[in-house]
Amino acid sequence: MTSPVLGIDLGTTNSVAAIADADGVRVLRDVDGDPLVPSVVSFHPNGKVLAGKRAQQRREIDAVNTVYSVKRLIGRPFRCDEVREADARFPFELSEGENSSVMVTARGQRYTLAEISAFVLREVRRVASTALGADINRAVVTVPANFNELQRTATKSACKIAGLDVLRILNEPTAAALAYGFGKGTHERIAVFDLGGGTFDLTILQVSGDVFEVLATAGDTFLGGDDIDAKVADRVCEAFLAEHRYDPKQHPDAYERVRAASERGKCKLSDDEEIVISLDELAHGPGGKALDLRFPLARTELERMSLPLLGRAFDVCEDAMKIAGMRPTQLDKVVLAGGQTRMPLVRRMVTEYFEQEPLSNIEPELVVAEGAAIQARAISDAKASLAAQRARQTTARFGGAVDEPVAASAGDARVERPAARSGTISSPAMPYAPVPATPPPVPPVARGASSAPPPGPQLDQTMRMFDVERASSASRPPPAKSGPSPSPRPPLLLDVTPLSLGIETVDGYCEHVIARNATVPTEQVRMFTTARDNQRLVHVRICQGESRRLRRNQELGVVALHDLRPARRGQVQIAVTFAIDADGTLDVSAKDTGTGKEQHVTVDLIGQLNDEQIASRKARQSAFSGEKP
Amino acid sequence: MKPEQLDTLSYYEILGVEPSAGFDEIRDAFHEFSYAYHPDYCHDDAAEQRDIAERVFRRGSEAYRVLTDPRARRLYDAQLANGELRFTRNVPPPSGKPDSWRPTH
Repeated sequence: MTSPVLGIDLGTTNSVAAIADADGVRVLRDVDGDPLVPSVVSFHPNGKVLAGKRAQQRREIDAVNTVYSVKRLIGRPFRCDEVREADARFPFELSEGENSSVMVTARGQRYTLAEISAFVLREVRRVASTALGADINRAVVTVPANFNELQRTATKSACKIAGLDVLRILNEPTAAALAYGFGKGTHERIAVFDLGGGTFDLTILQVSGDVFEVLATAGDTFLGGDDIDAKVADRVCEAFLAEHRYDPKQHPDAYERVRAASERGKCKLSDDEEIVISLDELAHGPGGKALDLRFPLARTELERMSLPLLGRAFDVCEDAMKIAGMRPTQLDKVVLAGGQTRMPLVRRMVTEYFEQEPLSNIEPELVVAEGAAIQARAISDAKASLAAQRARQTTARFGGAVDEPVAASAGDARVERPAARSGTISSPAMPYAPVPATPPPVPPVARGASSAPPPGPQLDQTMRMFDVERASSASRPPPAKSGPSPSPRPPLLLDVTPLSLGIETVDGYCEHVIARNATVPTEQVRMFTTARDNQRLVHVRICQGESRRLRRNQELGVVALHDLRPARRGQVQIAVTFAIDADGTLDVSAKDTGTGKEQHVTVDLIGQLNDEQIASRKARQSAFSGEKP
Repeated sequence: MKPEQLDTLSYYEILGVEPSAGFDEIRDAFHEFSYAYHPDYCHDDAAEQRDIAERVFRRGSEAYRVLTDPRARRLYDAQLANGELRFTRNVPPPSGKPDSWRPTH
């Protein structure tokens, strides 16, 4: 029995851990019964590093040393609009680090954003381990669907620094869809509207039985509830300044109190029609007189302020619809994820846009973590359920001896269902049945053409096409062929890369190598040749984005090919394979087509830590938390 | 069969469908293919086996992408008629020649 694997939603504002086992999915709570771990890290004067709730409490009393919302900036180069905008607003100090990265300074020490996230992850892990009574170090961690290569790689680095073994980086909307499970044996098209603290994604999936296939995804990685909080806080500060000639924006602790009160007020307005944002002794006036804040705010006013921001989300929806070649009314279900979708205005706008009521039976703050836990279990269970899934395969595809139609094995899933508009969901908890315990061992089945076929259906046909040996393949009895039965296999996620991968050509242009919305893992090979005699080294700049202009896309860094074979120009031909793995991260390899030899390639990503740096930062964190490195 | 032999198969052969297969058939075949080769289903395999499965999956994903895009599929079918099994470019380069890299300094 392997140890369980956590599903972790590493959020902008809050993080959540969940676990899936034979009893179903459950969110893990702290000793107070609270599932939300604030994604906040505070550097205490006594040298301790606090994370989660204890750090949250210090936001208003030690704003300059209390770091939050780093997810908005992780993986971004220091010189970009988003960092500039955040720097103006955050009370803590940002600066440029090595390789154009963003660093935070607190109490005289500089930290990378991956380290800050790692402190949060350690806290999540601590809460989860306490809840489960066992230390867990394996996890599936989620990221916004529209995160680019730099943001994904930085998140992976954060996990490594936190000492977590990450089985998969999963896209948040995909996780949300998985948590809902949906019907078996049907084709349903689902939209996930995911508006969190810092990011927005709209993902469209086709759910066919146990297969969750992403058709399109689009997003804005700098749009979320934080922006609404900031708008409210700015309004409050203006009013306070006008009334008392004191600008809270000039004082980090005061501004932080206003911002926190604004956020609380915003949340309250999801239930109430009108509230008063109040803070006692926000400042002191002439003669030391305490100045209190009393700012009445009506829901209608909050909605008026939020409307332009939310409008941006629907521009993104349009983009996703265009990619999927669909109209908003063609979706069978719409799912809400992310805390900001609690806002009644968001729900109204979603209802209007898709012309149907969105689903939110699972709490929008928890749904992503639950989905991550389901996927965590699916990955760790895949082996156990393989024998069962093989029973479903026929020999038609690769065996050649059977005349069945190719898709016979999926016959039960081929009926196109009319659009269902009911708000019910068939299986909220575990979308697949638990796999029975290990069956009795049987003699290994010989592989290869000369051996007699095992009784019953030829189970291994798919794997036999290529020599991929499954750890479990020899130890399972061939199950008897049966008709359609409840699916024993875990869900399969087919996700996509959100952004096109491009390479620099000439004059600042780039050419796309892998188009966005390609199912991952995927790869594309491009041929390159040298431009001068005896050229030994080449650099090519790579980027992600949809523009033909390199600069309008996110530049990722440089791919370098080393030690090329000396030859006349044009004589060396290199086949470069650009691959995107299941985490959505890049992998580049190259081959000299003349010699057939692998070519030494390095990929230098902007702002990223190398293995050595990750190891040293991990050691530093372990020291902070008083554990052995 | 060795993964090297991927280069000897057409996209249709990799996914196990007839060249006349329609969209739904290709999609269903790709789903079955995914259950066999997707990394999430190979997690507990030995590293080497995982790598092989991922190489196979990447090619299948490439096949799926081309065969489910009507324009790309038409181009691919024309190419396949000339014996070219793999669609190596999204868009043919203007010159039809390989890219040349600028020398570095």
